[in-house]
Amino acid sequence: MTAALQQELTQLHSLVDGPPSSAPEISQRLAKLKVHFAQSGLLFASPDSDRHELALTRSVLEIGAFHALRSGNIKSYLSYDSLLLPFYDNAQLDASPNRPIILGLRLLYWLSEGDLTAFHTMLETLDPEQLQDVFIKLAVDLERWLMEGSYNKVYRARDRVPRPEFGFLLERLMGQVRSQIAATVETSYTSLPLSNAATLLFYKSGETSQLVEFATQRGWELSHSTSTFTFPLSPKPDIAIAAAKFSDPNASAQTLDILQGKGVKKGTPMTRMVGPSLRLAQQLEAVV
Amino acid sequence: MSSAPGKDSKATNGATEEHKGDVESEVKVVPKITPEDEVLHHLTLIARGVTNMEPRFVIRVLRTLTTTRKKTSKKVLRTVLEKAYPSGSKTGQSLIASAVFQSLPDESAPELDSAGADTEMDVDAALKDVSKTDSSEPPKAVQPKKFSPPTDASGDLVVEGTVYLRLLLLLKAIDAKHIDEAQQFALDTIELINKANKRSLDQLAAKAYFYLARVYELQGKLSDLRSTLLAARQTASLRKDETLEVTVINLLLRSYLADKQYDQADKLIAKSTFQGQVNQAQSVRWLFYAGRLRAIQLNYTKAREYFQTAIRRAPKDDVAPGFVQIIHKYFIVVVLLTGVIPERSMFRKPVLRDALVPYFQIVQAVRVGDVTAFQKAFKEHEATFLADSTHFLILRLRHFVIKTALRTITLAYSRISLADVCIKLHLDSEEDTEYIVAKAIKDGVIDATIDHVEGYMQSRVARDMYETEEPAKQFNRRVEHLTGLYNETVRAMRYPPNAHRKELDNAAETRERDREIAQMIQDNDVDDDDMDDL
Repeated sequence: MTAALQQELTQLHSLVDGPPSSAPEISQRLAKLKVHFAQSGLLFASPDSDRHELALTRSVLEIGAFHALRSGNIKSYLSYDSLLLPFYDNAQLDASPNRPIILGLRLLYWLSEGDLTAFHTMLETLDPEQLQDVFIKLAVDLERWLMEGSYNKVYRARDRVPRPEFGFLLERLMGQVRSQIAATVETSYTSLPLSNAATLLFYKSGETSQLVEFATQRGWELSHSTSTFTFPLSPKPDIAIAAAKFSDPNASAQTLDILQGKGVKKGTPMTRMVGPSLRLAQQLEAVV
Repeated sequence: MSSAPGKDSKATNGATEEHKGDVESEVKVVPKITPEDEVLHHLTLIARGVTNMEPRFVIRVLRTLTTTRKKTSKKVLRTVLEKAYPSGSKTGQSLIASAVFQSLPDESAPELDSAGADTEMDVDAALKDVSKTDSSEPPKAVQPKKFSPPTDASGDLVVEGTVYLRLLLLLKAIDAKHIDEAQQFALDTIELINKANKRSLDQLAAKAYFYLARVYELQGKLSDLRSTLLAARQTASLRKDETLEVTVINLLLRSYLADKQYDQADKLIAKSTFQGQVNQAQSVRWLFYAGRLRAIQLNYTKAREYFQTAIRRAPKDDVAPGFVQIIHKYFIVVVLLTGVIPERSMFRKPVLRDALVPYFQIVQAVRVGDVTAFQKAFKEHEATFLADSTHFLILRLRHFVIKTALRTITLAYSRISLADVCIKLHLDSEEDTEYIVAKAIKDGVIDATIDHVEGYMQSRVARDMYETEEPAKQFNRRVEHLTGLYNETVRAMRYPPNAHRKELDNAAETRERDREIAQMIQDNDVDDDDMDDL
């Protein structure tokens, strides 16, 4: 059985290294193998399994995770990733050479999700030596640039992806970055020429229509005579934003961003005045 | 125990942290008590606590546990064990025969560090005094010769007393580094407690679990104990045994944080209610662990609040220097992460001065906004930060350095070209500078606008403070603080049972008096009228 597994693994390896047209076949093989693992109890890394077989299973699952990312299937990637966890925690197995890659991918995934809490919580669990690894360092650097605001560096990081799997997540991250840039642009400029906006938001010269679409989505006004963007103040008081947050739990970060716009200028500031006053009134009532 | 500053003492402050600096008055005021008598007196107190169903007495005894631990020795314990149990009691004999007691080192080297030696000498003097002035001057507070062991129905020492003595033995075993014997002994003690299943044992049980975990930690296998602790937590929670619950939760948190299982720790905190008022020492621990977790999760405001409270409630500096130091370290980093520069005075405290030097350099760098100095300080003290596990938190500080630097620039220049900003901040490229400045504006660090075409940054003129939201914010903060303080004070008040009855009696009396006064006034009125008539 071990020999059969070994053979499957080598075949998979050659397929992965082969032309991209073999993607469907890889998926098929992986699905079959997964069923097989589930039946033999290897999928959940039960402690009484054979060490060698476990190591092979781990390699197959790693390939699965990489393959999922290459074909842009986030859901399948996440399931492979969580399946891999017990294998890495298993002290009997030797450390996998792919471990840092998987870790780096996971970190990058958190970044592209914008989930910094999870990112940092995971980072804390790593050893300082692991941080020196190329794949993990990439994610750590990206986070630092994002926090500083060096978006240009993030953009340029796409040109030197260490592995194709990172490319997909980096593309995902760029979407995140773009809306962050847009939010900073709204607050720090009064007006911005179209061409400059394109460079700032990393749109290439031919992508003006996409830029205009993106801008109208965020509610920017394009004056056609001078071809500059102006950023309107948010017409909504922040009470409306708070209400939107409550009434519509699915309100995306972007809509909230747009609602918030350039800070609240109109209406009653809910979070700063009404909330605290109500709390004080409540407290006073309790005292009396 | 109190000599080694920094990381080393963190390990030992598990013990020192216990008594909260308020050394029991009877120990200090009446020094002419032998340790034997003291322990026996404690037993009486515990027994009184049991009969009156008043946990206060037990808490009082446990508060002095660390002092007692330093004073007792094998000889003392032997005398106590012989006296404490009624003659013919099997429990006492078995304790004396137990491996833990037998393996304790003899008198010669009870405590090696300075604090222990000091108390040792006091004790010797006290012993002599007592023997000299044997009958002429009866010692206060306790009557050593007339000690009669408080017994239960079966004629043995009450189980609470036994548990207390076992705790003392356990502590001595830990001091003597007989960890393996201590482990078995601690487990036996827990079993005894569980078998007795008495609510009057709650406080003692908490301590027993604490030292059980300590033993396991010394063996480096605290994680093995988790299932036991989780079970204990469940039972404690069902019995509303808050002291034990908060102790066990803290132990679990400690073990999770040590193993970097932050998700588990987060879930534990979310699923348990914080019993802040039950036990000062444990609540400080809880605050510390929760603060660490929140800091990791980027919830700096909450973390800062926790650390601040922990610092306020922490034991005195000289009692648990290691603990005080480590809280301050975390506090400084978290305060920096919230964008505030900590006060200078904090670094001048004698306990903290040396320990905080690395952090001081970091704070300096952030305050000035000097990225190179920050990198240098970080490189230089990396080992310290790693040992304190503040390493990652400090790494997160880097972009704050840039932001403060930007802020000083906007204060100095009303208009400056982006190229100059780039040079001043030692940044790599001008495009990045533009993004960084824009982000700083968005984050509210600086108040400025960027002109992209001309390539400069224009800062807005400082407005009147009272036009901004700052006063309202300050007001809200203070209101929140005061209402919080009021609520906590109300919660901390004690209402002894039957107190209202006294008031009722008084009320009856007052009513009586009122009637009398009214009567008198009426009489007086009549008199006055009479006078007028005259």
